[in-house]
Amino acid sequence: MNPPLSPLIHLIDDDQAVRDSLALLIGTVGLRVQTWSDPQVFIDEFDRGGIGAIVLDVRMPGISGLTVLDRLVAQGVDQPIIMLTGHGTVEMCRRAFKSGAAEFLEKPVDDEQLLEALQHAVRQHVNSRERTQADQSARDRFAQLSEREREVLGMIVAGLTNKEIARALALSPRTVETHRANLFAKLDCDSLAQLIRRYAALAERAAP
Amino acid sequence: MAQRNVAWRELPWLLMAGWALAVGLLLGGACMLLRQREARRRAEELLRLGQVARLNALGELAAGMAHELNQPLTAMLANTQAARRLLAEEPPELGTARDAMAKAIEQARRAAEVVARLRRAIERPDRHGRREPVALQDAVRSALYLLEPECARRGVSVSFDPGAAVRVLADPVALEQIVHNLLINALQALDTMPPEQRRIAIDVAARGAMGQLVLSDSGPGIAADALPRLFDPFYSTREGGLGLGLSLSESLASEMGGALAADPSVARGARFVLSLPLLAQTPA
Repeated sequence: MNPPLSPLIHLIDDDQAVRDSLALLIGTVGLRVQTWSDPQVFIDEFDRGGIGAIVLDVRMPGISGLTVLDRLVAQGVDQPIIMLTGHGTVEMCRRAFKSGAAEFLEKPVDDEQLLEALQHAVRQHVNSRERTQADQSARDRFAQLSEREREVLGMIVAGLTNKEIARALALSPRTVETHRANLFAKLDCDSLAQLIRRYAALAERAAP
Repeated sequence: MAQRNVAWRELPWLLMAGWALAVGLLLGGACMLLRQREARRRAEELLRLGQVARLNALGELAAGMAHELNQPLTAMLANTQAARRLLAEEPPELGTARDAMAKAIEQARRAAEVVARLRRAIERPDRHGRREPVALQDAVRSALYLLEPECARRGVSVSFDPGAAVRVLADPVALEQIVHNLLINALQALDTMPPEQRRIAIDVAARGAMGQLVLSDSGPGIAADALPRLFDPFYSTREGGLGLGLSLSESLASEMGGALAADPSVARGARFVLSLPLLAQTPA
């Protein structure tokens, strides 16, 4: 996976004047924008791997913005989705949030409101991607451990000392120390605290 | 068993004929009553439907308008706010800002075109036609006739002294709708009053070149802050009210060359004055 350098905002609205003007406005804070006039084309083609957010108009001919929202969420799209609407009812707003919208804004939308919502959404997306990525690399490293190393890790996380681990596993303390050094190297940790923070959950889940 | 032949002459013809006639009259009378009630119901329905159709059309129009205007407004706001941001940069991005302003101007024109289209759509070609001589008293009578059961149900007493006929030039349907709306408003205002204080008074008179219909009620009256907005569309003091009754009535009245106003000088209750051009004063 190779995330692009700067976040990309996807803007879907059937009205060209609205599309162009909002794209210009979003561009003034340095965010890149890709505009889409056809929600179906957007669903089929947009880059799901990129960092960014989605701005979606509720009222569009053919396929409603709320339907698009449902489909994106069902497909596991993780970019935050901001809904825009001309005349939003409380019911519509409630539905959008229930379906997983990150924000619900009324047209005509004020610049501060939209740009703040977008920057907040992008920050959230970056954080969540980083978390997912960290989780993934932790899982990858954990998978490289030997059976014995996993046992030792489980006991370290449980708070046992080297001596206690050696006794429990019928090993020499020196062997345990070697395992421990290998663990820190393989899991790319510099301290016990880091090891526990990153791998406690994995070790507990893997424990028999 | 003794038998006897009854001669035709011996039958009680008179009694039978009388009975048949009585039954016939009864049936006929009942039918007439039913027909009358049916006719009233239908007339009421028609008036109500006309009103509903007008209001529905207005509601749809408002929703469509909201969307049609929201798009250019959104583009205008985004363009001008983008331009402001571009101008605030160091150095300012003059070219892009200028383009954004040009687009904002374009969108303002687009919004104006939407409004112009709307005006063309609602301007009926026959809006100045369909005027005929109507006695204001007749309009009051037929509106009262329709609302009689409603007045009785709510215990409202209506005083109306017809006097000499005041003939105006008006669209009879529009006129009736205005009187109907004013009466309905008065009835609803009186709901808050104790039953013995529920009164409506209607006066009709000629004043100058205008025929005037004055409708007063003994209700709570109109709050001072509501008075200036009374005829604004979508303004209502009633919960759940659409706020179109008075605005519609006012535009109907002015379309006929008349006026509808609330009399602010009244001490108690509310008073509405409907003025329409008198027939005698209007060149044929």
